[in-house]
Amino acid sequence: MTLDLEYSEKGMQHNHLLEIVDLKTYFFTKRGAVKAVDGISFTIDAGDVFGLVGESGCGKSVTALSILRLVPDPPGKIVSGQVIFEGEDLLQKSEEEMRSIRGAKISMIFQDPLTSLDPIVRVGEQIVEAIRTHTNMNPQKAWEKAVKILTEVGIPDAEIRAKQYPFQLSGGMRQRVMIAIALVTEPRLLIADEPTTNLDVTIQAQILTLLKEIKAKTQTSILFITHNLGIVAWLCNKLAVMYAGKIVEYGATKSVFSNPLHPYTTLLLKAVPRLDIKKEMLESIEGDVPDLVNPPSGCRFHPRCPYAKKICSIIQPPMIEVEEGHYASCLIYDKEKWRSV
Amino acid sequence: MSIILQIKDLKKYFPITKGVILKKTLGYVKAVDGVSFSIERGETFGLVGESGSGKSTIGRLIVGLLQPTSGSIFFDKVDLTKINKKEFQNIRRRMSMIFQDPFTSLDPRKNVMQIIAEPLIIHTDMERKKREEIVYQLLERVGLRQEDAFKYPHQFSGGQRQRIAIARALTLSPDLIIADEAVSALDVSVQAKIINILMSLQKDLNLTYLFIAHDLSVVCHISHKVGVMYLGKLVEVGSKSAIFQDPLHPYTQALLEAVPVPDPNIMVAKGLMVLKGEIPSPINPPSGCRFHPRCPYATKRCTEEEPTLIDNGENHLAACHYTDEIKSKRKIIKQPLKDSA
Ligand SMILES: Nc1ncnc2c1ncn2[C@@H]1O[C@H](COP(=O)(O)OP(=O)(O)OP(=O)(O)O)[C@@H](O)[C@H]1O
Ligand SMILES: Nc1ncnc2c1ncn2[C@@H]1O[C@H](COP(=O)(O)OP(=O)(O)O)[C@@H](O)[C@H]1O
Ligand code: SF4
Ligand code: SF4
Ligand SMILES: [Mg+2]
Ligand SMILES: [Mg+2]
Repeated sequence: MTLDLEYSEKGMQHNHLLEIVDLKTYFFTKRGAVKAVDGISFTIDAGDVFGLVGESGCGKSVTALSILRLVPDPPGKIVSGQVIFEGEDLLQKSEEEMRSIRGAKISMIFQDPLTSLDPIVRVGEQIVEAIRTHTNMNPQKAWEKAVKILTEVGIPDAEIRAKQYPFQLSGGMRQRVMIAIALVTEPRLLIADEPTTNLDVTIQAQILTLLKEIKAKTQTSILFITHNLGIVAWLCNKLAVMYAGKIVEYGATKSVFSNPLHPYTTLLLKAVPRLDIKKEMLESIEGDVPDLVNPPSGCRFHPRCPYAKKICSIIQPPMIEVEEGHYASCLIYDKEKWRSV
Repeated sequence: MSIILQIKDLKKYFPITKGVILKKTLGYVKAVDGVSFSIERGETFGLVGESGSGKSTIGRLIVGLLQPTSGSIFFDKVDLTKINKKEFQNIRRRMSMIFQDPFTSLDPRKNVMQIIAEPLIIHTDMERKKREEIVYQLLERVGLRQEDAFKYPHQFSGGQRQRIAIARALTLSPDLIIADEAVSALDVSVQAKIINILMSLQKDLNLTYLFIAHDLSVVCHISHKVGVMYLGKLVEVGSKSAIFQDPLHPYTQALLEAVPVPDPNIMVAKGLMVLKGEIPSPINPPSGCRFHPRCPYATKRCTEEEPTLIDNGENHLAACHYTDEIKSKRKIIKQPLKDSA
C-alpha cells in the first residue's frame, strides 16, 4: 500500500506536528565532544511515517532521545536548536511539563523491550500504569482497557497474557506489549527505535504490519528509526538519511529510492544484497564511519566519497532542494561552486 | 566435483535438567533433529532459518565443539564421529570458524601478529620469519596493511576486526570455513566489503564455506546451495536459484515473502506476507509437520504425519506432504487445500 502523501502535504503545510530545527546534541567525554547530532533539521506532519535511516553510530537514537529530552546528562547535552512539537519548543519546557508529554503525546518503543519493561510487574499492570499516569481512569476500567489494547495489538488470549510477566512472553509478544503501552494514551507521535531489529523476519513482518495498521486506524504519526532500507521502502512515506551526525538526504520515499541524490545514499543502496536482483559484486564503501569527536572537515563523507573534489574538504555542503521536496547536502548540486574547481 | 562435507541424520539433543547433585532429566531441547546434507568442494552452502532453528549447533557439531547425540559427519569421507582424538585434531586443522562478534572472538591482549600467527605456532614448527611472512600475506589478502600487524583489536573498527578474524581463519590454509553469522553485526557498507573479500578468497583459494546466517538476502548473494532450517529440521535444500526463485516449502515461501526489499514500487506490488503465530519451542515441537500450526496449507494429515525430505528433481528437496499441490496453487496462496484441518 502506498501512503497518502497528499494528505500530509495539504492541510498541515504550515503547521507541522514536529519540526526539528538545527538540532545539536553533543556528548562531552574525556576524548572531547562527541558531536552525535550536529545540526539536523526535518519535519514530521500528521499522518507521516517518517523513516530515519543510517548506519550504526550516526546519531539516530540520540535524535530520538533529544526529542524526548532523555539524553543522558552528563555527559550529553542538547547544545542548540529547536524541537517544535504542536507549535511549542520542547527544549524550552520544564522537566515536569516534559513528563506530562512523554508517554502521553509522544511515546517511544525500543529495540529491546526487555530493558524497557519492568520484569517484576505483570504486563497488564504496566499498561494500567501507563493509562493512570496520564488520566484518572479507575483501575477496573483501566484494566479492561489494557486487555482490550493487548487484543488490538494482536496478543491472543489477552486476558491470560495480561496477568503474565515479561519473561513469560516471546520477543515478538514483548514488542507487542511495548506497542500497547506506547499507544494506549493515543499519542500524536510514536517514536520507534529499531523495534524489529532483534526479531526474526516472520515476526518482524507481523510487527511492521501492526504498525501499518495502527497508522491507518489512528491519528498517530510515526518516527521510525532503522538501518534497514527495505523496511523504510515498505513502511515510510518520507525519510531522512543520516551520516555521521548530519542528515545528508531528505525527501519522499519514492523520490529518494527512485532517484537517490547523495553519493552516500546511492552507494548504500548498491551495497545491500538483494533477494530480487542478482548482483555479481556488491558495491562497498571504502574506509570507515568517521570518529564523531574529530569528524572530517567540510563534507563529512569526503574521505569515502568517490566523487570528492578538494572543495569537499573545505566547504560544508548546505541542504539543497534538488527536486521538489527532495533535498541533498552535496556540493555536486551547487552547480556554481562545483564547476568553479 | 567432490563432496568435502557430508552430514547424515545428525541429531543433537540438549537435556533439560533439574537438581544440582542428582540431576533429573526433564526433557530435551531437540536443537538438531535428523539433518542431512552435503557440501561440494569449492562451494558455499548457505544455512538459513530463524533463531533457535539449530544452525549454530550444526556448525559447532562439525568442528567438534559439541558431540552429536547421533548421526555422522563425513569430512573428506572420514566419519568424524568414529575417529579418536588425535585423528580428529589432524582433520580439525583443515576447518576453521568465523563468528558473528568480532569484538569477543579476538583476544584483546594479543596484537594482530600474535592472533593470526597463533595457529601456526600451535600446529607447526615453522620458524618465526616464515610465520611473519605468512601473516603479512594474509593481512594483504583481507585488505589490511602490514603495519596493522602490531596493533591490538581495540584499535580497529568492527569491519576491520572481522578482517582479522578472517585472516586468522585462513592461517592453516583450511579447506572448509564455517562462518556463523560472520557479517550479521556489520553495517551495510562494511558488510558488503567483507562479503566481497570472502567471495574472492573462495575463488583464489578454492575454499568451501558453510555460511550460516539469518539474513536471506546475504545468503542469497553468497551461496551456491542453500538449506532452510525450521525447529531443528532441514525443511528444504537445493541450488540457490531453486530456493530463491522456485521455493517449494511453504515455510521457505513465507520467509522470502517476509523480507522487505529496498524498492517502494516492488513493496507496493508485493506487500509483506505475514505468517501467523510464533516460532514454537523445540522442547515440545508440534506433532506431524513442525510447521503445521503456522502453515497456510496445513491439513489434518500434517498434524499427524511427519513429512520427509523428498527430491523434486535436480537435488531440490523439500519436506512437505503437498509440494505438488502447492506448486499448482501457488498463485492463490493462503487458500487452504481441501481436507483442511
Ligand atoms: N551516553 C553517551 N556517551 C557518549 N557518547 C554517546 C552516548 N550515547 C551515544 N553516544 C555517541 O553518539 C553517537 C550517536 O549514537 P546513536 O546511539 O545515536 O547512534 P545510532 O545511529 O542510534 O546507532 P545504532 O544504529 O548503532 O543504534 C555515537 O558516536 C555514540 O557513540
Ligand atoms: N548448550 C546448549 N544447551 C541447551 N540448549 C542449547 C544449547 N545450545 C543451543 N541450544 C538450544 O538449541 C536450539 C538451537 O540453537 P542454535 O543452534 O543456537 O540456533 P540458531 O543458531 O539457529 O539460532 C535453541 O533452542 C537453543 O536454545
Ligand atoms: S560534497 Fe563532495 S564529498 Fe560530499 S558527498 Fe558531495 S561530492 Fe562527495
Ligand atoms: S506438510 Fe503440511 S503443514 Fe507442513 S509445510 Fe506441508 S502443507 Fe504445511
Ligand atoms: Mg540506535
Ligand atoms: Mg546462531
